[in-house]
This record gives sequence, C-alpha cells and structure tokens, in this order.
Amino acid sequence: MTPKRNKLANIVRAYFSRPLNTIALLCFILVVLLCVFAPLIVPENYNTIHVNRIFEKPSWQHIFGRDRLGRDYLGRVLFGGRLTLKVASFATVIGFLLGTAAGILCGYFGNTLDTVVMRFIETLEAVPFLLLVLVFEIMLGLGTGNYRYALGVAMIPRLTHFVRAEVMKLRSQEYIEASRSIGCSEMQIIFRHILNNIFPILILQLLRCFAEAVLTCTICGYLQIGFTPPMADWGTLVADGYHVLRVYPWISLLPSGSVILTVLSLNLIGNGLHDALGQKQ
Amino acid sequence: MSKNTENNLHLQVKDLTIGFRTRQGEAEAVRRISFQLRQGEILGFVGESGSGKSVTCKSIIGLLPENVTLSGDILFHGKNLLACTEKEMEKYRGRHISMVFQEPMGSLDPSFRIEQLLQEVIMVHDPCSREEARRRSLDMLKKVDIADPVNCLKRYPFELSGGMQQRIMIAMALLCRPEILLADEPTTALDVITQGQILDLLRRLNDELGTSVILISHDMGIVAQTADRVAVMYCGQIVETADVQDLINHPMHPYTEGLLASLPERQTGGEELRTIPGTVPSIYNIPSGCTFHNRCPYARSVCAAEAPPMLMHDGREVLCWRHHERYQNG
Amino acid sequence: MTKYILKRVLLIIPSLLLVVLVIYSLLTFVSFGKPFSLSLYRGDFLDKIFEFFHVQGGFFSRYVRYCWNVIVRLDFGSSAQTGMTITEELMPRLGRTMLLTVLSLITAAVLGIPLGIGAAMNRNNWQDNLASVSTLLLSSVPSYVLTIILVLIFALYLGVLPVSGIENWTSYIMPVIVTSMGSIAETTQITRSAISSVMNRQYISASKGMGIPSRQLTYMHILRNSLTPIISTLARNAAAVLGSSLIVENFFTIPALGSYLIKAVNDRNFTRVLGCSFVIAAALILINFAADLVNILIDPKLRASISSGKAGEV
Repeated sequence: MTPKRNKLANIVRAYFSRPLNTIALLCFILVVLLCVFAPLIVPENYNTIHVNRIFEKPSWQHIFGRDRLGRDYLGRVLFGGRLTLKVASFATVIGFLLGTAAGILCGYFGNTLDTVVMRFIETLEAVPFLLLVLVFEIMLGLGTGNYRYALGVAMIPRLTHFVRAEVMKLRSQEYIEASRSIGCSEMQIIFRHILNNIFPILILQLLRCFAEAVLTCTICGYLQIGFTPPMADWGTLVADGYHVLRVYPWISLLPSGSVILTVLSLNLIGNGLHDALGQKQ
Repeated sequence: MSKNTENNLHLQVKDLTIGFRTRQGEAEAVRRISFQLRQGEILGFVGESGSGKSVTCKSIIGLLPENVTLSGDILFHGKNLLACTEKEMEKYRGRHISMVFQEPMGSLDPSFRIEQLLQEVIMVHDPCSREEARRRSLDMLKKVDIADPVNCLKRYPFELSGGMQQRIMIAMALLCRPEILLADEPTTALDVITQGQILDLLRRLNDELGTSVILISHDMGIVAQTADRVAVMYCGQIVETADVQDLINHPMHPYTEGLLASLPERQTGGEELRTIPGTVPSIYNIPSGCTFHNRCPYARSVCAAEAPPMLMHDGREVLCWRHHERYQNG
Repeated sequence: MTKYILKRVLLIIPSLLLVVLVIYSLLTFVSFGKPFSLSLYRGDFLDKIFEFFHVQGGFFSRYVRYCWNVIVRLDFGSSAQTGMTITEELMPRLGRTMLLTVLSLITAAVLGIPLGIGAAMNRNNWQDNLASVSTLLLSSVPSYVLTIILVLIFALYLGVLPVSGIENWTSYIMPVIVTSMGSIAETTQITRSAISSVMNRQYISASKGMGIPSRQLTYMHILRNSLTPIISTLARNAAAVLGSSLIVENFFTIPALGSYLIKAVNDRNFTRVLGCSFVIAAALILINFAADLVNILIDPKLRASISSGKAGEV
C-alpha cells in the first residue's frame, strides 16, 4: 500500500508547510487539552461560592478573576469549555454518522428511496437551523441531556444532502462500473471505493460541522436553551456577564475569546487541509 | 492582384516585441516584427498556432493581459498606440480600430438584445438620437447580408446561428466606420459554406467602405483567396511578406513553400499528404540562428549559426539566408 | 411564461403544508399523541366532510383542521395566557422580523457586492485581502460576541445607540449589522467568483474591443451577467438571515418572532410554536419565490428555456 502512504505523507507535508496551519492546529489542541484536563488544572473546587469576594479582577491567584458568585472564573471557563466541547462533539458524531450513512445510501442506491427521503430532507433544510434544533429539543424534552441529541439530529439533513451529492458524482464514474463487472458486491464497492474517495471531503465537512456545532451550542447556551444552571457552557457564561459588561467586561470577554479561538483555529485547520488536499491533486 | 492603393499607411509596426512571464519562465511570443498596413488593403497573417499572429493582433487594439511586456512602436496615423493610456485606447477601439473574434458564439453579450448591443457602440463613440441609431444599425445589418434586419434587432444572441452572430459582430465592428478591422480567425468556428460567405462579405465591405483589414488565419487557403498581401509568421517572427499572387506562385521562404505544398488542393492524388517535417519549437526553447533551420530542407551552416537579416526584394520581404550572398558562399 | 409562474404560485401551498406537517408531527410526538389545544371550531364545513368520510378525531384530521383554519380564516388559535388570538400576537412581530431580515439582506448586498467586485478585479489588492480575512473572521465569531462588542462600543462607551427595544429607527442599526454579517461574507465570496468567471468570457473582451469604457463594461456587462448566481445565493441566504435575525432579536430584546418563539418553546406553548413556525416557513417560501421571479426577469436565457418548456424543475 505504498502509494497510499505516500499520499498521506504528501498531504501532511503540504499542510505543515504553512506556519499558520501549524499554529492553528496547536491552538486547537491546546484548547482541547485544557478543557479535557480541567479537573486537574483547577486547584480548588471551582464551584465554591465566596460571597464576600465577588467580581474580583484577574490576579495571580485567580488568572481569570472571580465571577458573580465569587467562584474561580478560570475553573468556570474551563469547565464551560468542557461542556461545550462535549455537547458539540457528541452532536457532531451523531449527525455525522447518521447523515453520512443516509447520504451514502440515498446517493448510491437512488430511485424511490432517494426521492422520498430527499424531499423530506429539502423541507427540513429550508427551516432555519435554530428552529430545527428547538423543535427537536421540544420533541425530546428540554434539558442538557437531550440538547446534544437535538443538535445532532438537526445536523443530519445538511450532511445527508452533501454526502449524497458527492456520492452521486462518484457513482457515475467508470471504475465503479468496472468493479461491478468483475463481481464485487455492493457493500464492497461502497466501502472500498466510495468511502475511500470521499474520505478527504468528509473530513473537511466534519471539521466544518464541528465548528458550527460549537457555535450553535454556545448560542443556545447564551439564550438559556438546553442548559440549566449551575451547568454552564461558554455561551451561558457570556450571557451571565452581559449585564455587568461595563464594569466587569472580562466575565463576557474571556469565554467569548475562548469560543473565537476554538472556532477560528478549527476554520483555519479546515482551510489548511483544503489547500493541502488540493495540492495533492 | 495588386491593389492600386495610395501609399497611405494606416498602420506602421516597427520592431514589435511581445513578451510574457509564466511559471515556466519568461518567453517572447513575438520578436521584433515590423510590417505595414496600407489604406484599403487586406493584409493576411498566416501561420501555425502559437506563431504569434493572434497576440500581434491583440497588441494593436490593446487587449493583452497585464503580465505582458511590450516594446517597439505601433504607429496609427503617426500616434504610437503602445504609448497610449487605457482611456486613450478606449477612444480608438470601435471607432478607429475594431476587432472580430474567432468564436462568434461567445462574442455577443447574452443578456442584451442585438439592438441594444449595436446602439451601445454607437452611443459610446458617436452619440445621436435613438431613431438615428436604429437606422444606422438596420443599415449596417443589411450591409452584412442579414435577411430580416428588423426582426434580428429584437433577438437575443443565443437565438441566432453562428454565421449570423459573426455577421452581427462584423456589423458592430464597422458601425462607426473604423479605418482598420482586425479579424482573428473569423471563420474557423464556422462551417465551410458560411466560411465562404463571411470571407466574401469581408472583401465586399473592404471594397465598399474602404476599411483596411488584417485577416488572421492558420489556413493558407483562406488567406490566399481573400487577402491582397500576405505576411507569413513562424515562431514569433514574420518570415515573408509579399503580394498574394507573388507569394503563391513564387514563394521565397522555405516555410511558405512548405505551407503551400501541404494545401490539400496542391496535392496530387495517390500520394501521402505532404507536411513539414518536425514540430514548431517551444517559445521557451528557440533554436539559435534561423528559427526554421532544423526543419528546413535547404539549411546550411550559416543558417544554424546566425539569424538572417530581413531582405527586401521587389516590394517583398523575406527572412532567409537563401537570397543572401553568404548563403551562396556556403 | 405566465403558466410557469402560476404553476409556481400554486406549488407554494403544498410546500407550506408539507413544512407544517413536519413540524406538527414532531410536536405531536412530544405530547405522545395527546392533542394539544388548538382552536377547533365545531359544526363547520370541515365537520361535515369529516362526517361524510367517517373520520373521527385522530392526528390527521386535526392537522387538516388546523391548516384549514389557518389558510382560510387566518386563525392560528388563541393563547390562554394573554387572551389574544395568536394572529394578533404574530402580525406585528412578523412585521419587525421581516423588516430586520430585509434590511440585513439589503445591507449584505450593498456592502458585499462592491467588495466582491473589487476583489475580483485585481488579485491581491486590499479588497481581495479584506474579503478573505473578513470571511474567515465572520464565520468564526458567534453573533452574540459581535453583539457584545458593538454594544460595548456604541451603547456603553459612546452612548449612541440603544441597547434594547425598538424606540426608533436607531434601534435597528446594531441588530441589522449583526444579522447581516454572515451574509456579507458569503455575498462577497459568491460575487467574487461569479465576476471572476464572467470577466474572462469572450463577450467581455469583444465589448472592450468595441471601445466600451471600463466602468460601463463592469456594471452593464460584467455585473449583469453575474447577477443570477449572486441573487440565487442571496435568496438561499435569506433562510440563514431569517434564522440569524431570530437569534439576534433575542440579544437586543426586540419584540419580534425570535423572542416569541424562544419563549413559547420554553413555556411549551405548542400552539404558539406551531403558529410561529408556520409564519416563518411562509415567509421563507415567499422570499425564495420572489428571488426566482427576479432571476427570471434578469436572465433572458432562463426565460427562453421556460417558454420553450425545457425547465421542469420546481
């Protein structure tokens, strides 16, 4: 399988050839690590309320200061990030797996299944994303446990549409016909050829979906949908600080900055990967 | 047949060089060519793809992209077009110098009716009333042999055939009675019958309106039947210039000989089709000396060593050592 | 031609019904089949039909009754909390949401198209770089962050613009900016690529060769031929902009469909949710339809292919 390994090496090399891509990747990894290891980083129990020390400015002891209830804000932000990333990744995985599967099935097999499902999907796609998430959330019952599912399911229509389009492009290519003529089973064709070829595009789309999931998650958090206090994600934290924006701006700005950093680095990674893949061809 | 034209020159090109920069390096598409366009004549440019004919044409009217370097002089009635700003060129285009392109099917803006397109050209150069513009448009459409001009005005370009679109292009180009018409392979994309009609049209308009024409083609047959004088281009240089009959009957440059010999009409039956051996060199890799020497049946040592000077002979010009004494000496 | 338009108009209703069916079914699942309160007038024309076909209560008949009420009587039911009919609650809010959406689309067009043109004209000029950078940034910054920044600068430090409510026209400035952001980026992108591809077509060189001055060339010829993809994108964006405005309305506490919807969701007031969704869906379908009409007006090739019956797509 030497050609395949070379291709991968080429892509990786092309990706890291631009310093911006490397920085973006490092930033993203940094954010993820900080959030994942939050319990180890934050010393005291961040949830402890110190009523007499509210809204302290950032200091050496508390790098992010303290919040409205005197809690260590660094802890709040890190755990907020944990929640955001957990929900977003869960939703992305669900949406991605189901959407891709549906897209491959529709795109590859076509005919009535495809027509019916696509009509349905197109209708759903026409609905604003937030509305869709809300509707699914009502369906499943409000609350964090269910929000991640709602977000995931809401992502399915667009992914299905996208994957289906890509699969249909491939399906008409000749080597699929050739494979069939030498007796490959349908499943074999799907796994070996189709998946192989749409893999890079899928990865790109995965990144894009994840970025969007993070954004939507924080927006819903801001609007207090799907999260109950004291659980907070980045969006909720930003909303908390809105009323004291003038006097204690860091309450809103710090989690905002984290969101921007995460999503920006994801987008840059996506762009870099896109360029690296393009060069291979 | 040599036209009895006054020695009034519309265009004088001296030492024109067109170079451009690509990823593979710098190259010159056209190297120090000089020619003249006399009033009322049809000058044909003939040569293979890549010989630089199209680029020369575009340089006259200023339609080359920005990464191109130009040097030399293109004198139009004394004014050097290469020294003009874009705004000055806009005044010349359509009014004094017009161009017709190879692909008629893509040359007319598909979002406008013919009437609007023609009217736009008139209004830019020679503003007049709407009725006057319409009258002039109809007049011109009749001149280019369009059967139902009134109906034609109302149509959109995509509703018309290739031949009609080319006629309209010619009409549009001549609306303001320019002195020069540049025709870049105007018939290549058309079928043979339409080809003949368009060429006849060009000759007729040249007669009636007195417009000088530069006709570019890779097809020697077309040039032979339409032009008054012919310039043969090879690899960015003009290798021979002569009146059309002289060129056909007594070609002086080996390349011209080769082109004429490979015309289907010239082939005698039962033999292999004659071609010129070898291929055109890449512009990044031009041979030393005479650029044609490695394909030339008459080449001698002087041909490989040095580039030949332009020789004048009886109103003809040729870029070949054969007619120079150094050739005789070996 | 008119037949085609008529056909499209007629198709609006089924599309709308389909959307409502989807949302209605999803909501019904929540109550596990127990009907939530909708206004169900008794003894009317529909009753007679149902009797005739021996259709009793049940999911589908309720759905039909609901659609009938909405479309024929414009009656979405009433809400127990305020005592007003939902129609009365929705209409003024619809007006504000549509105002916000339309203003944002216009802003996106007015800012995005010239930027895209400039970016396409020369490589690596300031417009091109600005376009690339802003696209990247705008897609990475969530709308609430932008809101906060704008509010900080204009409302809190400068004190120029109001933070919430809709006192006068100035209240719309910041919401429109935030809502149009994403759309500006996408409009610029699509304009740049459309213009780039048209710029290199032969009819542009031919027109240039006829002496058409460059400004006229750009706006009359290049732009005119690039409009179709640009407008299609704006129309597709309309859905996103509408979605965006729903969110932004909440940030700025504007009493429009967005805040209405969120509150209804949190209160589990399905009647309101359904009515609001219906109205939003109708608005989207109408915007798309309007965009298609504009495309037909601009593009003569499209008109020709419709008249000759080639275009069959819906």
